[in-house]
Amino acid sequence: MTRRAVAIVALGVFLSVSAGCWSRREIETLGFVVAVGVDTSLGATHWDSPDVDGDPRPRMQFTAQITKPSAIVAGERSQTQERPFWVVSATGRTLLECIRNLSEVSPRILCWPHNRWFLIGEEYAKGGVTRVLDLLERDQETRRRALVGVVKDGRAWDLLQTEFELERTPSEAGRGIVSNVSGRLSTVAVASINDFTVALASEGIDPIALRVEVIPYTSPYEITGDVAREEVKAAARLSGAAVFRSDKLVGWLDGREARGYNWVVGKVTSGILVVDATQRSIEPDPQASLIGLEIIRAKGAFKPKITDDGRNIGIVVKISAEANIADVQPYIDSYGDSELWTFMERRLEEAIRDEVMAAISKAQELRADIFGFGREVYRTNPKVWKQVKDRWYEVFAHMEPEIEVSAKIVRSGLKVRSVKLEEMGGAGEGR
Amino acid sequence: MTISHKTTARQLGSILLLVRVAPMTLTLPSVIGMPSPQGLWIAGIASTVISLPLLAWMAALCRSEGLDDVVRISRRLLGVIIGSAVGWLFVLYWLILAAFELRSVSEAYVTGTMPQTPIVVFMALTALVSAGIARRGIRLIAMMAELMAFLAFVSMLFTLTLPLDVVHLRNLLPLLPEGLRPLALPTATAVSLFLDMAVLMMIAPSTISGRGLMQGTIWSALVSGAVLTLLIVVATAVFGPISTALELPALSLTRMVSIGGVVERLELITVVSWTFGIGLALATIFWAAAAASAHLLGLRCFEPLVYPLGGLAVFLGIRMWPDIGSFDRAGTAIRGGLVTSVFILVILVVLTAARWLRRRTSGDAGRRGEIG
Repeated sequence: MTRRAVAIVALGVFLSVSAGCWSRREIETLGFVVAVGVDTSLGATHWDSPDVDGDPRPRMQFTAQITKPSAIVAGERSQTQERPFWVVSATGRTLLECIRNLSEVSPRILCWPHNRWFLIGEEYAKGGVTRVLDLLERDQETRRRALVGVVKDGRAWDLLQTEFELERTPSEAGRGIVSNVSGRLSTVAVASINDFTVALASEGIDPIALRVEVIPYTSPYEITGDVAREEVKAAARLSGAAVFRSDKLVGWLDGREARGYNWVVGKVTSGILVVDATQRSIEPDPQASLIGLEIIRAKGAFKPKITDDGRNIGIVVKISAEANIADVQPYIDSYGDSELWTFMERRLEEAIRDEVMAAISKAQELRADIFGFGREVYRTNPKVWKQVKDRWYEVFAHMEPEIEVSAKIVRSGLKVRSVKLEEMGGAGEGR
Repeated sequence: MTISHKTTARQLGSILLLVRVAPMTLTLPSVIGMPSPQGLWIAGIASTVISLPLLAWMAALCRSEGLDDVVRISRRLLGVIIGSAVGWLFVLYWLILAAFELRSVSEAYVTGTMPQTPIVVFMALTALVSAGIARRGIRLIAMMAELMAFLAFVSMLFTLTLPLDVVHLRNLLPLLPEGLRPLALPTATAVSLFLDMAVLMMIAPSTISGRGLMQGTIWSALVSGAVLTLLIVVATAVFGPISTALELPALSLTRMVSIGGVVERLELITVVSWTFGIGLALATIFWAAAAASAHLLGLRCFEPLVYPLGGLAVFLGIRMWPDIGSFDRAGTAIRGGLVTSVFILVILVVLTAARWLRRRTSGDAGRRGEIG
């Protein structure tokens, strides 16, 4: 009897303690953050949080994009034109202070695990980003897989206001674009918070991030439908890369250069390379003598070439690619012209080499080793790295990489010969 | 699950695996704060190689003493007073170990999932459940461990394989940029964690045979050594130089899992494996401490001691380490790890020497008798 009583009391205590969890959070009290951004503070704006202790140090502006579940659900039923997200800002000296200052304007507790984006305004990125990364790694709610993007010529605040066709939430639209661009063009350099911080903490490599641009949403037509888009002022474009030296933004790669970067680090998954086919073509107009080759498979790797006891350090980049003939402007007969394949393969190799050289030259110009050539020297020969570490940017800037590209055209789609125009009558006579 | 009146080799191996794997999946004290992480997996292999003969030594000692437990062996070989002192030292060691693991799992809950909840809640609840299992004896622990070790192993495999898309094995290079010297501390720390398997010297009487005792011990050491090494390899491959700065590497690994960009937040796997794995590891330690105390106090049953020991472990877990920094350092070889390693090694040496002396003395006496 006593044992049963003790068991009942113990069970009661256990149930009362385990049911009343201190860390409980009800879903209706949460605001789901899907994207965040950091900018330098503009000061004296309506979102500027009051300065509590008169600290003269510069403040940052933190912006969060929070989903409005009710608007999303209603929007799916075509009942509302309400924007399905809320963009809100606060300022502070540290990221956490900014986030907590948001409590002054947000009726819900911010919930971070669904955050997909960490965006940085250009001006802020130029001043160094380490200060804001620590919290994102330290906090148990944030995700290291969130993508890092830098807003070219703009502020994260502006970018977080953009909207997209086809997707109601900009965060998901951004993810869709990244997936599309990296899977079909390879003209973006994708980096998560984990990739970024690992690069920051590693020897011989500088971090890289997505380049994002705000573009005006211009449509000459009146758009009607479930979501009224006439109110949309701006959209965004994701292309290229933001180049950092240590934690400071120093420049940009455009889309072509970003693909050059992806060739080197082996991240090209697909892409269209347009090569000139004038020599093989019977097309009289050289402007229209272009062949689009679709990359279907690619590999890229590099290794250092160290000679003279570390006095000469070079890099050998090896790239292999397979492509299909995807888009032909002039007349070609891929069945009958046996040399055509070799010709296109050489042209493809040249095109790849040009992209790679463009990326390396830009990085050398910016003195930012985004490829991790130095890290590879450290990994393969730590003693040599020790000797050159202090003057690595000099070594890197004057490095002449050897680029070996091997390309193969494997298929030509559903045709072996393109349409040959049958000319009739004299030129200019018309029909 | 095997139902038998004795603990089989597989069950013993499972218990020891949980005791060993439990702290590893939490703080991984053998890597925290180390300067270069690339070669730390070598420490995992080295510590397994060093620990294997030490664990085999413990099993062999119990086997040669007729599968008796360490308290009885100590009292028999060293006399009642010194033997009892050794026994009480073991009780103290298991009590501190239980406090350490309780704090460890509770810190993981608080840091990883529920920051607002007072740590004492997790500690008290875990101790209560574990003590409840321990009170039912080693047979229940053995049968549950056989099942749970499998689940813990599967969850560990998930943790190690699911972040495959973010694994960069070149992060493991250069292997030893500062030579072998930096490996000494993590290896010693990992060895001290392996020596937590000394609890096998209390389980020995319940094992099915001496051969089973040895097999279970070696099997668990090899499997947990492999898991430790793989965990360090994967953590380093994913997090590179920051892997040694992570408080909960296994949890951080599962937080990196994303299956098709849709299935995420799988840290639940890790938390569940903590709950079950640590729960049983603690039950084993509580049982060992209670059984040893009962022997020493001359009690016929150990059950009444389990809950008080659980309460004591909660108290020690809160009082011994004021903050997470001192707690992390306590697990390394330069702090608590060194003390426990030295303690167990000294006991092993003393008991083996006493046994050798006894055999020599009795052998000499025998020979003298024959002559006489």
